[in-house]
Amino acid sequence: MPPVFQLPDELLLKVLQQLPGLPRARQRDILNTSLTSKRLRPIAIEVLLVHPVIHLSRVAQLAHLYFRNPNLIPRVRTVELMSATVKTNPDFVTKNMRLIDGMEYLDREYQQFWGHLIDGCTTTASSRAHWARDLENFDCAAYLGLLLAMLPNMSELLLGPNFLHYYPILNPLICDPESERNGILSPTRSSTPYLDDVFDVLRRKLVALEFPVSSYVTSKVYNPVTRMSRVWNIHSHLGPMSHLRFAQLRSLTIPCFMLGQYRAILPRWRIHTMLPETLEVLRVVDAFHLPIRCFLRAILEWPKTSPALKRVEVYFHNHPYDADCVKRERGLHTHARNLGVELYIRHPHPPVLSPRGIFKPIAPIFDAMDANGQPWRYTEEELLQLEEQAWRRRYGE
Amino acid sequence: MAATSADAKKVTLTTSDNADLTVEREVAERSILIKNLLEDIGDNGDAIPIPNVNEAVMKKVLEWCEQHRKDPPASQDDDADSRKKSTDIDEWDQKFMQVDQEMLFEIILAANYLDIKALLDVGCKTVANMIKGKSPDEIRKTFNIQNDFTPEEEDQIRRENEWAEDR
Repeated sequence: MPPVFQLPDELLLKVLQQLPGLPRARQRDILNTSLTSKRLRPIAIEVLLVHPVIHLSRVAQLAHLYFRNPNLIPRVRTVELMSATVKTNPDFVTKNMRLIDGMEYLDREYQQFWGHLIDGCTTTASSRAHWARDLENFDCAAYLGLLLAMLPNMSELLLGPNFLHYYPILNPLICDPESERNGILSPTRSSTPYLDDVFDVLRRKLVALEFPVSSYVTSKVYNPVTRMSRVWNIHSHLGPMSHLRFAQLRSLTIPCFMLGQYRAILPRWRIHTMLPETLEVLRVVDAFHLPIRCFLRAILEWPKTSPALKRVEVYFHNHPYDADCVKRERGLHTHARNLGVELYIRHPHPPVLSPRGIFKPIAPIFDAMDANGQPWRYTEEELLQLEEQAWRRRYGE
Repeated sequence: MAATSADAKKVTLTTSDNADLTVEREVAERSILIKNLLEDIGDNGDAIPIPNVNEAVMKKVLEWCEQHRKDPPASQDDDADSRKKSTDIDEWDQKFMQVDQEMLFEIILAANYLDIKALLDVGCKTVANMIKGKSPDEIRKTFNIQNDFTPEEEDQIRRENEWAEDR
């Protein structure tokens, strides 16, 4: 017997859980481990299922695996999804990723299982019928709803590398129910009451949420002059991220222009209502100065509204190329210090010198999607490498 | 601090192969198992039997405990933010873990039995690093694992794994 097999299953499991690296690389290592031997296979599968990292089009297969391994269901804490990949052209959003992959037929047992599950969800009878119909039609959003409804202890939903477009389940947060026209990249379907009901349960237990951050700034809807993209129409009558919507959210990652949009629609004295009271860590990606400054000033003026906030991480998409920006940034630090909040700021590497002086990029040098929507997961060296790749892609050699 | 003599701070451990090892109590108490034992039976100077660990492994474990005697107790904070840092192994530990595989897995087993969480973590991370970035074949070679799948089974598994493959 090879020495490694002296370890009992629970320790082998611990080893695989400690695999270093980014989620995708880890996933690959675990899959490779599952191919080595009969002893390691079930252990590897367990690791994969307890912290799944999958493409959105495969949620149905994942839900099916939980149906087959019900003992693992209570142990799932984190679900990590992606719909955009590094290989995907960031400007490309398919009109419709409605159908799921890899399920050509439904076995009766599985159908009974989800029939039972959706019967147990708080939603209306007509919604249930709608949901069942969508499931039978292999609708991706319907299966995501199913997956999220079947994991009672899930508390982290990480959606960084995603197009918001594919997530009607986030509608209650970002689409104005009174507005006919929602933003261009908003989820396509505005009326899926059963997903709203799934979200209603989810919002009470989520501890960490990472918003889809894909390509808001590089996409064509981005206006480099106003630095705004009319991507969503956000609820205007509520502080959408406030404690009214999340009961225990501690960590939130959002694209910056979400703050920008709030600034546009909320009176200044209400900007603070966008964050849940319980929030401890706020990460803002694809950042630019104005919304960050306004936000920090707003919580400075209304300090009781984010009592738990400890750390703000800001990932800028350009480098401050003039003295003005440097001054403004110093201002941000002063704000943060006065608030007692730890502020971390990261810029892409220094401005590039063109023959005529300092190059002022119109488009972002480095947006979050260049780092798989999750720049906060990378080390400084890794980020520098990714920046270089992004730079070459965008501006040539 | 209580005015205890230097002697009273020492404990003797009897390993599975009947070797007696005397160490300072503070060092031995890196092991939660030993710490709890000492609290339960009181420090009456008797040797504490450690029937699951032999002398060679115990010496190695105690070497680690000695080095880490002043470490603060492990925090229970399993925050998502600590994930990035948690993959690092400090330099001393890396060197410490440069042993043959037999010993490596013995240390992990001992750390688990003795309930020394930090050492267990370092051990598991060391093994995880040996898996990182390798193909199934390379993993087998590294750990001397026999491929007990038939080619058909392997194909089947590849198909089953598809749900988790990158697109």
